[in-house]
Amino acid sequence: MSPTQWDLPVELCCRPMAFVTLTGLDVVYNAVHRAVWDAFCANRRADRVPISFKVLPGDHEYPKCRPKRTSYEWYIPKGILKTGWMNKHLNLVPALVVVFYELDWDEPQWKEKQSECATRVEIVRQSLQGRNTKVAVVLIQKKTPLPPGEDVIASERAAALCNACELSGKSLFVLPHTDHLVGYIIRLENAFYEHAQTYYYTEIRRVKSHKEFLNKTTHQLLFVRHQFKIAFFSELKQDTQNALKNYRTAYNLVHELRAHETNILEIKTMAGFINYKICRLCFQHNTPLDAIAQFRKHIDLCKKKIGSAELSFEHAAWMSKQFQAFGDLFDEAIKLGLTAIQTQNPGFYYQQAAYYAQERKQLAKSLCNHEASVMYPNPDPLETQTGVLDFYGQRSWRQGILSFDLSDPEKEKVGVLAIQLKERNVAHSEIIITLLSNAVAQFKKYKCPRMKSHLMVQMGEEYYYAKDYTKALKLLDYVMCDYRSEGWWTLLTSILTTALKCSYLMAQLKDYITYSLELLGRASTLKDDQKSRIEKNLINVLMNESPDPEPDCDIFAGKTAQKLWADRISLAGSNIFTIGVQDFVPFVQCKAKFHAPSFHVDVPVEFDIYLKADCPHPIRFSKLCVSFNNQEYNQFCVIEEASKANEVLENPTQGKMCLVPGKTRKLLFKFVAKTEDVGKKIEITSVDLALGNETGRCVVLNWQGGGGDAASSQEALQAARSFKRRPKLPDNEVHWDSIIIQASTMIISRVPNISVHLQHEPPALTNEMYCLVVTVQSHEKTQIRDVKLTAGLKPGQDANLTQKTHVTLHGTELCDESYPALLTDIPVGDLHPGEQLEKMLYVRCGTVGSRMFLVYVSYLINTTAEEKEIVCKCHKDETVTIETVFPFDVAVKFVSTKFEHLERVYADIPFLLMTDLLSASPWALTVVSSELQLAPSMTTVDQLESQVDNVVLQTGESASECFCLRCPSLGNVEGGVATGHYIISWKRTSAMENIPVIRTVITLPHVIVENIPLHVNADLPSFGRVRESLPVKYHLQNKTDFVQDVEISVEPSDAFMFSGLKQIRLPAQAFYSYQYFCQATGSTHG
Amino acid sequence: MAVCIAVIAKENYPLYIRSTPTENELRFHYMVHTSLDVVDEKISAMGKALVDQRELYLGLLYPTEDYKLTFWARH
Repeated sequence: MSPTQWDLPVELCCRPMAFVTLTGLDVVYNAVHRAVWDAFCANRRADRVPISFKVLPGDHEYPKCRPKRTSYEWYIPKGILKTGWMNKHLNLVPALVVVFYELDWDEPQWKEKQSECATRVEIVRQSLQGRNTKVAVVLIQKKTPLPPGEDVIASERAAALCNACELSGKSLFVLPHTDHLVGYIIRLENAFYEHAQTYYYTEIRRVKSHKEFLNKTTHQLLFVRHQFKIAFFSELKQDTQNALKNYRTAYNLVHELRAHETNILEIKTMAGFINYKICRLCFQHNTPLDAIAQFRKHIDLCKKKIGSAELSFEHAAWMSKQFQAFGDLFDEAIKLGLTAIQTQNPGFYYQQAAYYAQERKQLAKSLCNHEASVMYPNPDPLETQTGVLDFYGQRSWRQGILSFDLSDPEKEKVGVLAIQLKERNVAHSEIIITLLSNAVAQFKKYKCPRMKSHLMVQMGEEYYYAKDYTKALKLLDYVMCDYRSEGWWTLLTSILTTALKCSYLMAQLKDYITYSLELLGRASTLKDDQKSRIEKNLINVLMNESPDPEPDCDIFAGKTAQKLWADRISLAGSNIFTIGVQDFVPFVQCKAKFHAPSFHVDVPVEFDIYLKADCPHPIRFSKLCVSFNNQEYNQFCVIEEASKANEVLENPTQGKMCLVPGKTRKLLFKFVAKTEDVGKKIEITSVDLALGNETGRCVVLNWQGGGGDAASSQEALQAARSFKRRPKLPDNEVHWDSIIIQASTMIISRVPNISVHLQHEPPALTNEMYCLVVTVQSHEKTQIRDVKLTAGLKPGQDANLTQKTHVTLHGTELCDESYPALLTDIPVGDLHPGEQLEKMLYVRCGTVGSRMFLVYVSYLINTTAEEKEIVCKCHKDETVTIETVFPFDVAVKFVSTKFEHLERVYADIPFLLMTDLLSASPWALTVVSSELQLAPSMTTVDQLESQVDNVVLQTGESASECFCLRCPSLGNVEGGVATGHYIISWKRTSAMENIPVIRTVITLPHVIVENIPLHVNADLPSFGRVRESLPVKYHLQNKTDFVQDVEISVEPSDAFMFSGLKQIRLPAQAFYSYQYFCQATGSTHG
Repeated sequence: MAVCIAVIAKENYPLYIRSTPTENELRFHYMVHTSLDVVDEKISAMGKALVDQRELYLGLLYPTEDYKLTFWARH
């Protein structure tokens, strides 16, 4: 019995193909024959007919055919299927024998050659006597044959040859050895295939013909055998539909056989074979669901057919193989294009195969535990004469015996013993691991991460049983985090327990400690007694002693481990193990919490470290250190309790560092922050808790940040969702869940004790030097130093404001664009307690709108914190929003000399420019002076003196001026003619003397200048007397280049008497003036 | 007969698992845990449709074993 006894035979698993032998080919020495053979063998792709060819000598002896049975009456079969049968029909008994013979139609020695060919055919026929195998002859010819019917000699000789060889015309072929060899060969093999199919058809008929002779009492086995053969021949015939049908019948028949302990293996073996064939064909027919249904049926029918209890491991092995074979078939179908899904993929079958392989191992362990003194029987009952069994699934020591009674119980016993002893040598773990790893590959493919992890756990456990602890630990360690992250504590505990055993057996200190820490923790579902044992072992290890062995370990491996542990003690290697807890759930929890989110630099920073142990017994830690992002603080946050190694568990309730299980321990730390850290964040980067000390072994648990381990976030979530009311605790205790980690705090500056006042008269007026008086008064108890002032436009506002706001300390000079918007760090000296200082700040705002101004005062002061002298930098700021408005509005208008409104002015004719300045300032304004700057195109008629010098305007008051101007003719100017600028020099009336005057420049509007042809000017006396003549003088001026005809008519008023020409017509010369006089006398009504 | 009942949180950790004491408890834990692969896949595939559908029934998860796993997803 070989270890591969349960493997399915190759001839069962292959695809059956028609078997054709080629004779008369000398493929070694004859190049032509070699080429013919190569053409048959090479490139056998799917489009070629499925034939398995073999070259054999012409006188090859084919297996002898047994004489035909004339009656089945006395025939009792000895088994279902002979082990050699399938191979016989696949590789030994051909469907067709082809005799190759070199013979051309014009062969001179035709007679002799024909005779030799006939002899060769006869030899083949002799060897195949009794079989239905077909014989064909292929003549290898040097010449290309003529088209059929044209070569008379060929036809004659072909007929003669057929006659001599007793062949039908269909079995004689010609193979001209010319250029198109492959084409001829393909035609030949298609013809061979037809012959082969006829042969297998005959075989099927032959087997079917036996049926009528069979009876159901003695020939039950034959029903199965024949049905199997029919199916197998159908497969050889490539009739897979009928093959499937017949295999299904065979499968039903095999289960109809009377089963007994003695033949159950044979029945199962055959059922397994037939099931394999059915499933294979179903997959081939692309009906995978049929394959799955058949397999399920097969398993349901067979899983209870265990057979001999002493050999029950055989059943498990068989079951395992069934699943594995189906998994292979399924996988193969997928490779050929079948789509599998998450819930139905080969992985499940490999997994189940592994399950049965595990069962096989268990059964073998209990059934094959013979004493070492039990010897393997001699002679070997599993040996047969031929080396193989006659029938599939039979026992070698009672082959062909059909009786259900055991004729020789002693022989049976020896046989069973031999099988059991052989089973002991099977590498079960190897088989299991291979199957599991097949399953892992499948589940990985079909998105089943948890199934994959589960199988990897099983692989790890199997490696553990196989004593390959390194591999076991590698696998277990790999999957542990999956269970931890999802919070499956029962499963995690189980895995950790195995991992702890592995690490114990290899004496791997760090792993042993890590797993112990977690098995003691809250994620562990171990009972308290187990935890106590682990805790004790952990303490032993920390005291540089060997731990007690883990329970249920292999005795031999346990002994090796004890030696390894002893060696570890004597080794003086590194005895400090730092273990990061963020990836696991240790038995002690830690949370750090700053008392406040920020601390002033002059008060000590305070925080608590909360610790809670979950192990069964109180435990004493040796050291606690807290590390910060600024490492200078680390030194202030260390607690160390000197204790001897053996005191870890003694005096448990004394000392800060002794934790009582379930009780929360709070440790307060304080330190004074560095003044450089003002404005910075202080962060706890890690908390280190040491167990044990350097004289023994020391474990340092390292929490990143302010604590928390792999289970913390999930617990926080659970706590948040829980409706459970927390029990009331004494005042000095807190609920662990209610402590929220706060691992960072801000250091902020000391609270300033000064006052900053701003005094000013809003709103500000555009472009004025607006005065802000800053008053700083110290209320500190000691002198403050290095007082600095930062003032101006508050940063972060509209960028345009920065361009249009300028700040200076000197109000006497007008600041321009070179001045900044914000003055920084202006030193103003020191201040004694109660002392105050005043600083004037001048702001010039170029645009209207509101602006925020900042006044920031900083200073240094010496103070103490926790009896430590420190220099604190304090600051205080004030912000003020100031509105800027226009100081006044200026209105300008053009009027005629008669004060009539003008839309346009006339060239060379004087007109008046009137300005009107209306104060918009809530404060009184002093107009220091005004100035009219005329454009070159304008001329003045009289003096341009300011008429509003030193005028004070209250809110709403206005100051007007009037200037007489004239514009010479300039032709037609588009958009009018520039007038000039009006400049007002002004300041607040309240402003001090030295404050500069502001010049506001107003651009005067353009005016449209029009040329007129004739200008009439009346010169009237300012008054007249009653009954006295009143001379009226009219000036007429021709403004054109041409002589103009002018008609003047005077229409006097009724109040006057008129003398002079009433109507006159005269030519007016160009650019000449005329004076026209008339006198009027009359009375006016008073 | 039901041999094991499990209630699982939406983060996939067990809220409650009880099985008949005669059976191997660990095996059921593994079985429930591995079945979450299918649950995950179903729920992500159903997506929004699940919101309307009040319950989700998952049929046979272990085609070759002696147990059937049935799953209801709730909101």
